[in-house]
Amino acid sequence: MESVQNATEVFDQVYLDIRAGLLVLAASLDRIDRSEGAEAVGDDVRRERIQQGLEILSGPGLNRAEQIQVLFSDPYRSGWNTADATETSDSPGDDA
Amino acid sequence: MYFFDPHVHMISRVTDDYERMARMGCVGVSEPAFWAGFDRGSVDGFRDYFRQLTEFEPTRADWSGVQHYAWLCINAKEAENVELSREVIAMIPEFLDKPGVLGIGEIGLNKNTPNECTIFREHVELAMRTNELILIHTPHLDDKLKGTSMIIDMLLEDHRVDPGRVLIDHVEEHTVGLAREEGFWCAMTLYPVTKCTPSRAADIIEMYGDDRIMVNSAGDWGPSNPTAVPDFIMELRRRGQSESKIKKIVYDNPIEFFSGSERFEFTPPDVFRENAPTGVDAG
Repeated sequence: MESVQNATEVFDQVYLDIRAGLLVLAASLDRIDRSEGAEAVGDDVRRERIQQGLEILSGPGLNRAEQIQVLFSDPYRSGWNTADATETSDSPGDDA
Repeated sequence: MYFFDPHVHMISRVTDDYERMARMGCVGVSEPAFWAGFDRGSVDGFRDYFRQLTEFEPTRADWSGVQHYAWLCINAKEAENVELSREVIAMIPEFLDKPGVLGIGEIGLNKNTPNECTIFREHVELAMRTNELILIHTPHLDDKLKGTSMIIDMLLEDHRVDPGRVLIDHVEEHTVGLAREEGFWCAMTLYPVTKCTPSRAADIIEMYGDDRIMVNSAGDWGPSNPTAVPDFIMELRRRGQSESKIKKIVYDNPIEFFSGSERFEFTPPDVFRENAPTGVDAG
């Protein structure tokens, strides 16, 4: 099922959604930064991931959503279930 | 437009939800066994749950002219109790000849632990031994990519598994390709905050095509929307997609996959509604 709309039609349809999403994002970051202890959040790995996500948004590409999903994903070790894999006892599949 | 909701936990919803879904065109639901919000304490607790899924829920759905199907398992959240999980897996065959039972599900991983892997493999073994379809739950949020990859690894370990008889649910942008590359069916869950929106689900279908894929609400006891599939239909209409293409995703594809179960007996809605009974009072 391919898109039947051209880029201008899609942009017209999603423009206000994107604008609203940016405002929610901006207001949320402002709220964190004006709260007591904002410096500590700057060291939080989740805040760093959000910053990386913003960089993905501002870059080129056709798969920004997939890139952001991967950014927010735990590492995976291919071959974790093979006989010669070294199993960590409580977290199979970790990229140890 | 008629549609199926192929994954919705109606046991957690009120009868009015069946009614609202039917008014919007829902003709069938399939209900996987899942976590009740607390860990159940005995195999008899599950036996009663399976009776509700296979006896009372089809009756309640019927009051609104909705055809109800069920999947049986112990959820991954309860797999840390390996002893109880094994008792439940041993009990499941008592229900496999009940009308409307489509297979084993929703099995899968939650936190990707060794015990979850053990119980997942034992569910797959049961499904292979009894020739059942499989419906798979994949983890949420940060665990999803790793958990989906591990699930596919474990399925591919067993050469008896036919990917055409397995539905991998809750796929998103980073996992849909993994499942489809190996030939599995996929489903996207339209769920507030933690899964897919109707718009993102439509994007994924525009990018990956409409074969072997469907959408569901996964409506349950948490924040969720049992009429999310009609929201998806509206999104595709806003994008100018044809009615026949939309119907393929929300009606034809679920029926095609469910037809892999010999107990999937579906009466087309026009015939079914002529014979639908009236409801009764609960209180």
